[in-house]
Amino acid sequence: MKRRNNNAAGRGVLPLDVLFHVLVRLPAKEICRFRAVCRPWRSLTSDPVFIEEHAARHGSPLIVASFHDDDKHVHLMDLCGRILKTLPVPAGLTCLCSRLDLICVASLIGNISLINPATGAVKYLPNAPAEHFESHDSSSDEEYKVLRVSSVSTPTTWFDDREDLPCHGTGVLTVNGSARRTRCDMRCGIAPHYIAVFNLDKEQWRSIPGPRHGDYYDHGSFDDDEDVSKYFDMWTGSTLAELNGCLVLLHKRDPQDSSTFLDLWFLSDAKKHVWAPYWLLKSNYPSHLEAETLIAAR
Amino acid sequence: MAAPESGDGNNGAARMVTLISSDNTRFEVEAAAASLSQTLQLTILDGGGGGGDGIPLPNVDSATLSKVLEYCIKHAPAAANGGAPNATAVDRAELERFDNEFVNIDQSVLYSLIMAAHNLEIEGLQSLVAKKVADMIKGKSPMEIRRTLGFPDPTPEEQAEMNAHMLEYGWAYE
Repeated sequence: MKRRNNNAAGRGVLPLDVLFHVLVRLPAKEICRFRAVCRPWRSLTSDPVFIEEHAARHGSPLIVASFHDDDKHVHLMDLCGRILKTLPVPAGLTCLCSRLDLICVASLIGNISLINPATGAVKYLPNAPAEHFESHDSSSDEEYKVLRVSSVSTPTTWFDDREDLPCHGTGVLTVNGSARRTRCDMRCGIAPHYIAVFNLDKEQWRSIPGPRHGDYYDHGSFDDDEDVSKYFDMWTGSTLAELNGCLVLLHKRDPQDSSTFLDLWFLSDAKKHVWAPYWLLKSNYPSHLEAETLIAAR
Repeated sequence: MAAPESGDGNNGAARMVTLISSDNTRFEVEAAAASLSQTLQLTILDGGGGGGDGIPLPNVDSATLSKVLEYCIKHAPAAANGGAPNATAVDRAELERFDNEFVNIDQSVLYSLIMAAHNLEIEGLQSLVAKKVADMIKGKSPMEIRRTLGFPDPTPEEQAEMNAHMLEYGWAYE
């Protein structure tokens, strides 16, 4: 392979093994576009070896994943879909959210535990009625606040200016604990394309629009019931996380076939509520993938 | 061994090897510089390339080889220091300046160079040129890429695929 006599350079077309070294340096968005150049480019950039090398170079995030057929563990998965680490989860708890170095798991009746993904250590939090719990992690100087919403059935009181739909699914939160500013974002499926945000300092709720339906399905509005149902599928298959200081919506799509697709949306401009899609080189994962949330950039 | 002035060792002179390009031009170069090429290093360690023998490089023409050797000669001292842990900031800045200047060349030369770096397995040069080519194609549309890299015009089928992709991933084209 190394010795391939190649005059193609003279015609300008680089052989694929040379191209590999070129393309692997480019960001995922470029790779997405370049998959349209020609079929060989498409297969090169879809190859697991390429995806792995690209992830190693660009520091791709890890996903905390659980699977339908295993409720006793969560898995740290890279974007190639490989399980890097498996952590035991206390019985009956499911993955809620993660924030760089903590995974939050909870049960339907409100038991919450925090798992340290590095050590696997589990910290049980006191049960309700304590609505706020502050924990001090002795291994670092960071302080974490866990906001617990004990009832998710009356969200309309937060948003009386809107015709709200009932909150569905479990609330998901991610905490930005940089320095002294602590923010907590929470989604309860309040209304189509809205995310509830709770400011821990001010202890106030507000809402921000999520990625727009139109952005996602190439339509401008909810024209018919099918669009609405598609849209709700988007919410129920989504989790929130924080990555590189950005709020990220991780959306799981289950098309008819047996694979599962993950889409990432970054809240790139929190003031103007601009969501930017982040393109995953690999987007289809095993269909038994259930909850996912991003843990950290490597 | 890349320091002939030190005088300790083989008569104070660095060992030289001869490389022969595809068009039969002979290049005499210090073994330390040529050894930046993983491919050549083995031959040189075996004692090849010295005297009147020379190592033939049928895949590299003289214009490209002289450019490759320019890089190797410049980078050999730092490489001999094992990645130059004791290199000064000035040395590093100078190498960086050289590298930037070095790849500021015509596209066709760049392609010959990346092929040569690939065939000769010169890691540093390979990544330097790959980075340059990556910068060159960054931000271009698939059609522009095809033109830049000298692809033939797309067939109607290919064109349809390109259009479909653009429709599906519109945001990646913004």
